[in-house]
Amino acid sequence: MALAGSMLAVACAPEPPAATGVLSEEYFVSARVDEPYLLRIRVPPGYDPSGARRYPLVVQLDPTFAGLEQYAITVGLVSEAAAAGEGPEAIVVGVDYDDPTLRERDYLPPEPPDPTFDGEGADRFYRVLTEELLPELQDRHAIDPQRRYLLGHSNGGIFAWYAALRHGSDAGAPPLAGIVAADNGYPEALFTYERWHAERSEDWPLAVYATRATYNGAGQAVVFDAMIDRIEGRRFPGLRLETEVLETDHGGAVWPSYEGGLRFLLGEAP
Amino acid sequence: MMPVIGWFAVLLVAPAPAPAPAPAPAPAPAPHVAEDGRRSGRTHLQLDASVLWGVGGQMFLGTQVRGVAVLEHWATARALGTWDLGGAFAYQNEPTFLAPWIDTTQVEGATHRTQLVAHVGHTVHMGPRRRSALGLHVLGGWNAWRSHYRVHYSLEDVRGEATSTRHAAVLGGELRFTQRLHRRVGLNVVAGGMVPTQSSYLISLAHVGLGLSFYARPRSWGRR
Repeated sequence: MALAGSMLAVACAPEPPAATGVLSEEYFVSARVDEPYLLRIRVPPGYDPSGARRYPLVVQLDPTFAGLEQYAITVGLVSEAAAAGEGPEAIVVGVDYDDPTLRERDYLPPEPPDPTFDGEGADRFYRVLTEELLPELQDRHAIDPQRRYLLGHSNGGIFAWYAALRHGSDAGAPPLAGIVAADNGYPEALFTYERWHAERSEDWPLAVYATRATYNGAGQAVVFDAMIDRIEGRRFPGLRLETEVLETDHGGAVWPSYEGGLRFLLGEAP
Repeated sequence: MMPVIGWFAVLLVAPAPAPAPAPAPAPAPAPHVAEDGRRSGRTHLQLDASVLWGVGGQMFLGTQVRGVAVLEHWATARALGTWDLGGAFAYQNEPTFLAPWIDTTQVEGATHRTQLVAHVGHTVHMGPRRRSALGLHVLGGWNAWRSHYRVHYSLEDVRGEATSTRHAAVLGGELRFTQRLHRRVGLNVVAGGMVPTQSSYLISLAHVGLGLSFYARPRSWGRR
């Protein structure tokens, strides 16, 4: 949406904070899709994958799509906060593609939503994420399984909501402890997933940081407010919910959403 | 010797001497720059009405009305230069049918942008009769942004309506080509954009337009 505005935001955006730690790239082959995923991985300074210290995991969607450099921003914010002693160190994994437009295949829920969650699009990508990628990352890295977070902007934010709403109280520990849903749309399907969650579960034990950009217009404000009102009305005891309305546009929402969201999700330095 | 009566007869039938011809009325001054390429010393008024297409938060359609006083400044054998001072009013509308990601069965409304700006620029009038003009103008003024939408998700019983407004100063530029077709009417093509002092969603990014230009010379403005 509004690619021109996003590109303008790119042109005017400041450089992300410098990354610390070690950055690497590798491919991840899923049994469920044909094209491999390109993982962009940041581990903290002094990181020992076999050490006793466990780190939060931040999974970043759309790492490089449309030049918005979401992975670089998130890595920079985590690095900066940790270096300043204002936030914990974290492992950051950007789930990218050789062709970043493949996100369209993965992030959007099927229309209409499939109550069995056996469809394609977000249904399939959720299975890739929770049944293949997260277990492999968990095996290979020193990740705290109770602190795994998903960050998405725009359609990535739609998937973040979707992933958060997939969990039911009978499914054990949620695969994610929290999400940042940055300036995404709110199609009717998201309300359906929210209703399904409320029908099968009395709690929603995770943290949600949701933002919208004012300049996207009043249409997004209507559905954003409707979703937040509906969720708050459920009174899920385990839910931590924070929202922010940003005085900016779609591209401009990336940085402040992740800055506020990482602070909300990761908290203070240990 | 001719009888007296004869003289009278001659006087009566002789044609009267022709009156001195009245001076021909001076042709009305042209409402545009002179076709002979010389400075006329007059101030002209140009009114442009154009339809616009452009990009702000999404694609928009719009209209622009611009009026400028055209002040001649220099002339060469090939062109005449003018300073143009005036203002413009523009209205831009971002409809849902130009946003394919919006389901128009669920969302109604539009984003509106209104701009009132001053124009200052320079135009070069070219061609054998100085009918082709290319001008570059700086514009600046006020921009109002208003977003109003209604949403209805029938399956999930989500219904609502909201309005957002913002005001911002704008600064930009326009390139305008005008081809005069008639003493008082021409065609114009315009391309412009805003300096990104604010989000393009608020103030727009760029536009192109096509329209008519009208030429006039207010009586009271005479010679400079």
